[in-house]
Amino acid sequence: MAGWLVLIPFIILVLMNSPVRRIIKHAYFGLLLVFLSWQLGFTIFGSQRSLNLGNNSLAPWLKFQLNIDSLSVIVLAVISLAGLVSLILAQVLIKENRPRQHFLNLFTIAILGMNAVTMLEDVFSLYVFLEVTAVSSFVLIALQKNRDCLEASFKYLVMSSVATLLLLSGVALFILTCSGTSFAAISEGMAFAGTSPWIKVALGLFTCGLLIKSGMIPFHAWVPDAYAAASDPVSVLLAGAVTKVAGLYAILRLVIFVWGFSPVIEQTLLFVGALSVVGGALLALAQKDFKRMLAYSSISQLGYVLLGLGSGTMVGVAGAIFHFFNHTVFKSLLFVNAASFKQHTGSDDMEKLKGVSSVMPCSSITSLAGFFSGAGIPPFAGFWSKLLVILGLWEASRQGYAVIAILAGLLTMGYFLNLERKIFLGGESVEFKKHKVNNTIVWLEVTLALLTLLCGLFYPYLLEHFMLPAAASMLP
Amino acid sequence: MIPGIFFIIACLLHFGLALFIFTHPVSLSFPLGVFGWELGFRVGGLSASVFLAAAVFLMILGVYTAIFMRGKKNSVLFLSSIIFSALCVDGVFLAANLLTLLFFWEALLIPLWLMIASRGSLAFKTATKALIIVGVGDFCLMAGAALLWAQGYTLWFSAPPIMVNNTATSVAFILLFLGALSKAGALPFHSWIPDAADDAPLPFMALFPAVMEKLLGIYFLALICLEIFAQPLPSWLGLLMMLTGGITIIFAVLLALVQKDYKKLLSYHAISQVGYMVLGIGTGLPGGIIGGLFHMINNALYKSGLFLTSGSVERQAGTTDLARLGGLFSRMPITAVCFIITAVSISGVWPFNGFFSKELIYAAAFKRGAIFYIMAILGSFFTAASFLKLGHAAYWGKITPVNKQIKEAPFMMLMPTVVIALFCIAGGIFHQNIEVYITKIIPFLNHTPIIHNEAVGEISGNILVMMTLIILGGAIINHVFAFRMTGSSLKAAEHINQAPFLVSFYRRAENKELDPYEFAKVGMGIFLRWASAIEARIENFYEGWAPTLINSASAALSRMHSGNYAWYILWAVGGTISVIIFMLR
Amino acid sequence: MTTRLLRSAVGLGITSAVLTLLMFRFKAPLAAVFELSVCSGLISVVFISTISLTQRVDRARLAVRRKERFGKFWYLPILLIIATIFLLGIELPAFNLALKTNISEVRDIIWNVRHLDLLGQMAILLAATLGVAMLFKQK
Repeated sequence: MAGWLVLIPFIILVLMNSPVRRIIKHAYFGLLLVFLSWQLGFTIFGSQRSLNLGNNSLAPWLKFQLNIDSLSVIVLAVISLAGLVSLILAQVLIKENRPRQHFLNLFTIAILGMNAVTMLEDVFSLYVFLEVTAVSSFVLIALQKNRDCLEASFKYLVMSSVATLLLLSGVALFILTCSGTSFAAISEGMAFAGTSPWIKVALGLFTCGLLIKSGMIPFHAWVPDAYAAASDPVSVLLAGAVTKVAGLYAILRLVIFVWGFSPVIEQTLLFVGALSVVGGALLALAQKDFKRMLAYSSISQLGYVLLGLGSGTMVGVAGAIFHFFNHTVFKSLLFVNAASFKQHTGSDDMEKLKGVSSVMPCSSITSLAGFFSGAGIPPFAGFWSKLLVILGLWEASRQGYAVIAILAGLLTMGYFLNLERKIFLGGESVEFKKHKVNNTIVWLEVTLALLTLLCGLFYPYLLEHFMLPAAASMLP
Repeated sequence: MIPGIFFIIACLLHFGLALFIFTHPVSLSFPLGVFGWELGFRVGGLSASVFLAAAVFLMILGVYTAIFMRGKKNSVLFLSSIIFSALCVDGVFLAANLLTLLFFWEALLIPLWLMIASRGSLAFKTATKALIIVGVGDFCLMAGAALLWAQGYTLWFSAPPIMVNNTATSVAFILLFLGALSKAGALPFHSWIPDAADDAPLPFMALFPAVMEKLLGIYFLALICLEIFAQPLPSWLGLLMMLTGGITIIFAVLLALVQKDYKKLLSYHAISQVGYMVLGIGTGLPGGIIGGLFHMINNALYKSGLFLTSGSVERQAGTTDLARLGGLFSRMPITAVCFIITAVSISGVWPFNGFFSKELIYAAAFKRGAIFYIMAILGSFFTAASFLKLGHAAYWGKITPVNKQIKEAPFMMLMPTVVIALFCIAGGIFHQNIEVYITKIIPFLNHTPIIHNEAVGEISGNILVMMTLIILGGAIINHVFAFRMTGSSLKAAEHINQAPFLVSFYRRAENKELDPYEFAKVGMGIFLRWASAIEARIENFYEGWAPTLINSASAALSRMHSGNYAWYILWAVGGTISVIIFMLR
Repeated sequence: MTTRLLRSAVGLGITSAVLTLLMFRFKAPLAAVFELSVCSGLISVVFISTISLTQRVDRARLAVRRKERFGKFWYLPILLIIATIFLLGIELPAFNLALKTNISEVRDIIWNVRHLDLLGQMAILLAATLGVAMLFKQK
C-alpha cells in the first residue's frame, strides 16, 4: 500500500511522457486528479482501519522500507490537499500544452518525492528524496523563465546545496557513530552513545540542514523570492507541501521518533521557532507584494509548529500537527486568492488591490476566512491549533515563549488587517470593471474556506479521532 | 418570496428533525481537549418536551413569518437569524451540562441583535439595549457557572443536585437565577421588550419574547430548581423568587393598562405573565411547579396568538395605534375571534387553558402566603381590565373611515392564528392530561396526585375558583363603568392612571426613571469620563511609539534582505555553527 | 566555451569512475555503489546540458579543431597508465569503518537494501533531465 503511493506517480510520469499521452486530452490531469483524490480519501477514511501498513508488495524486489503511521497519515493528507489545489489551479491558469506538460511532469516528481519522504524510515533515503523534491522544485520555480523566476530558483538551489552539505555531513557522522542509517539504528545509537560529541555535531548539522529546507529564520532567505516569483500553482505547492514536508515533517519525525525530546533539542527548536514567528511577522508587515507577504507569513506560521514541537508536551505536539494541517488549508486559500486577484489586476502589488471587494466579492470574503484562520480567530481552525500550541508551551513551563507566541499573534493580525483593509475599504479604483472570475477558482476558494471553518467547528471531533491518537502514539 | 419558501421548508425540516430526536433519545459528548471540558448533549425528560414544543412553535409561526416578511427590508437577514437562533435554542435544550448550555445561550445574543436591528438604523439603539440587558444576565449566568466549577461541583446535569447551604452555593444560585430571569424577561431585565415592540419587526416579537425566551428562561429556571440544586431550597431563596415574580406581575400589568399602542400593551403583558411562572416555580410546591410549567406553555400559546393578531391588524390597517383603530370586528372577523379566544385565555377564564394553570399557581401561592395570592389575583384583575380595554378599542366601537376598506388578513397568516387559538381551547379541555404528562417527565414530581384540591391541602379549590370569578366580574364592571364615564374605551383605564398612589408611579415610568437600564447608563457615563482619561495615556502608547518601534524593526529587517547571496549563506552558516556549539555544551 | 564545458564534463566522468574503483578497492562496496549511481546520473545530466548548449560547427573550423584536439588532451593517456598501475598492482589497506552491517555484493545492495534510493535517484535523474530540457532548449 505504501509502496503504491510512490510507484503510481512514477508510472504516471513514465506513461505520460510516452506517445500514450496523446490518446486522451487532459489524460495527465485526470490521472493525477484521481491519484491525489485517492490519496486524500485513503488518509481520511481508510487509515483508521489499516494503520501500520507495512510492506505489501507484488514482488520481493518491490518491497520498500516504507511505513505509514498516524503522523504520516496527516502529512499525506496535507500533500494530497495541496497537490489537488495546485493541480486544479494549474489546469485553469496554464493554458498552452507544452508548459502544462512540463509543469505536470515536475509536479508528479515532486509528489513522488514528498510521498516517499513521508513514509520512509532511513536517514539516507530521506536525503535522497529530499533531493528529489528539491530538484523538481528548482525547475518548477524556474518554469516561466523570466528573470525573477530564474533568480529565485538559483537562490533556492544555492541554499539547498548548503543544506545538502549539512545533511550529508550529518548522515556521514551518523554512519560513523551508529551502526546504520535507518531510524531504528540511529535511535539505538543515540541511546547508547548519546553524549559523544560526534552525535551531537551530527544532530546539529542535520537539524540545520532541515531548517534551511523548511525556511526558518535565520535560514530562510530563499523563501520569499521563491514564493513570490513562482507561478501561482507552484507557489501553492511550495507553501502548502514542499517546504512543510521536506523540512518541518522531517524535523517532526526525527525529533519525535528518532532523537527524542532532550532539553537541548527543545531549546533549539523553541528559539528558532520564536525567531521565525516574530521575524516572519515583522518582515511581513513591511511588504507591498501580496505573495511576498504570504511567504513571510508562512515563515511565521510554521514557526508555531516548531514552538509546539519544542514544548515537548502532548498538547503542544498535537497543536503543532494540527497547525501543520491548518496552515496548508488557509495558505493555499490565500494563494488561490492571490491568483484570482492577479487575474483581475494584473500584478501582485497590494496597492492595486484597493477596493477590489466590490468587483470580486467571493475572493474577498474567502480571503477573510484565510485571514481569520491564520490570525487565530475562533471558530476557525487556526484558533484551536494556536491555542493548543500556547497551552502546550504553558504546560511545559515555557511561559516566556507562550507570551511571545501570543504577542506575535497581534503582529499577524496587523499585516493581515493591512491586506483586508486594502481589499475592503480602499475605495473604488477607477479602472475596475465587472470581472468574470473563473468558476473553478471560485469553487476552490469556497471549498477551502468552508474546510477551514468546518475544521474549526468540528474541532472536538478531529481532536478525538486524529490528533490525540497521533500524539499519544508518539510520546512515551 | 424565495427566501420565504426556503424558510418554511427549513422550519418543517427542523420540526421533522425534532420529532425524530424526540423519539430516538441519544446522548453524545465531545471532549474539547482543554481543562477536561466536554460538550455534552442528551435527550430526555423536560428538555426533550420543551425542545419539541419549540420546534412546533417555530413551524406554526414560521409560516406566518414568511408571509409577513415578504417584501420587508432585510428580510433575508431576519429569516436567517431566526434559523440561527433556532439552532442555538436546540443546543440549549439538548445540552447535558452547563458548559454546553452556556455556549449556546450566549450565542443567542448575536441573532437577537441582528433581528432587532434588521428594521433599520433607527432600531440600533433598541438592539444594543436588548443586547446589553440580556448580556448582563448572561454574564451573571457565566459567573454562576464559574463559581460552581470553582467550588468543585461538576457541571453535568446528571450529577446529584447540590444542596444550597452555604454562601457560595447561594450566590451561585442567585446568579443563575438572574441569568434565567434575563432571558425570560422578568424584572429587572424587562425594559428592552416594550422598546422592541416599537422597533423590531413583529414576527420577532411573536417568536422571541413571547415563545422562545420564555421557554428558555423558564426551562432553565426549572432546571436550576429541580436538577442542579436540590429541593427544598432555603426559605429565603423561595421568598426572593416569589417576590420577584409577584412584583413583576403587578409592575408590568399596571404599565400595560395605560398603553395606547396594541403591540406595546401586549409586550408589557409578556413581562407580566413571566411573573406568574416565576411565582409558581418559586413556591417550591409540586402544584406550583406544575402550574408554572403549564403556564409557560400556555403563555407561549396565547401570547404568540395575540401578537399574531396584532401583526394581522398592523398589516391590514397599517397601524397599531389604538386611537386610530376601532370596529375591526366587522372587517376582520376571524382575527377578532382569535383575539377573543386568546384574550380570555390570558385573563384566566374557564374553560380555556389559562384558567387551569393560573388556578394551580393561585393555590400554591396562597399556601405560601396570602400576600402572594393577592398579588397574583390583582394581576389577573388588571390583565382582564387591560384586555377589555384593548379589545374594545381595537375591535368594537366605531370604525374609522380609513379602515372601512380593509380586508381580512391573508389565509396563510390566518391559519397559524387559528391553529394557536384552537390549541388554547384544546389546552383547556385536556388540561388534566397535560398536567399528568408534566409530572411524568420531571422526577421530582413523580408522586404527585393531580387533583387541584389535593395538590394544595387545606383550602378547597372551590373557594379559589369563586375568587377568580369575582375578580373577573369586577374587571368587567370596572371597564363598563369607566367606559360610561369617559365615553371612550381608550380612556377606560384613565381612572386607574390617575389614582392617588399610582399617579406618581406612572409619572416616573413615563420619565424612564424606573428603568434600570437608564440608571446603568448614568453610571456608565461617570465611569466613562474617568476611563477616557486613562485611555488617552494608553493611546499614546499604542498609537505613538509601539507602531513606530515595530515599523522601524520591520524596515531594518527588510533592509537586511538585500538580495546578496553571500549574506544569506553567512546567516545560514552562522546559525548552524551556533546551533552546533549550543548542542555541544 | 564549448570545449571547456566538454573538458569539464569528461574530467568529471573520469574522476567519478576512478573514485568508484578506489572505493571498491578499499573494500567499501556500499560507498562505491552510492558513488556509482550518483555519478552516472550526474554525467548524463551534464552531458545533456552540454549538448543543448553547443552550437553547430562548420566544416572549416572542424578540421582545425581536430588538430587541436590531440594537443589539448595530451595528459589523458599518461593518466590512464598511472591509474592502471595504481589500481591493479599495488595492495591497498582496508580501512576499518564502523559499519557493522552485513556487507555483501553490489547486486544485493542495490536490489535489496537500497532499492528505495534507487527509485529516488531515478526520479532525480528524470527531474534533472526534464529541467534541463525545459530550461535550456532553444526553439
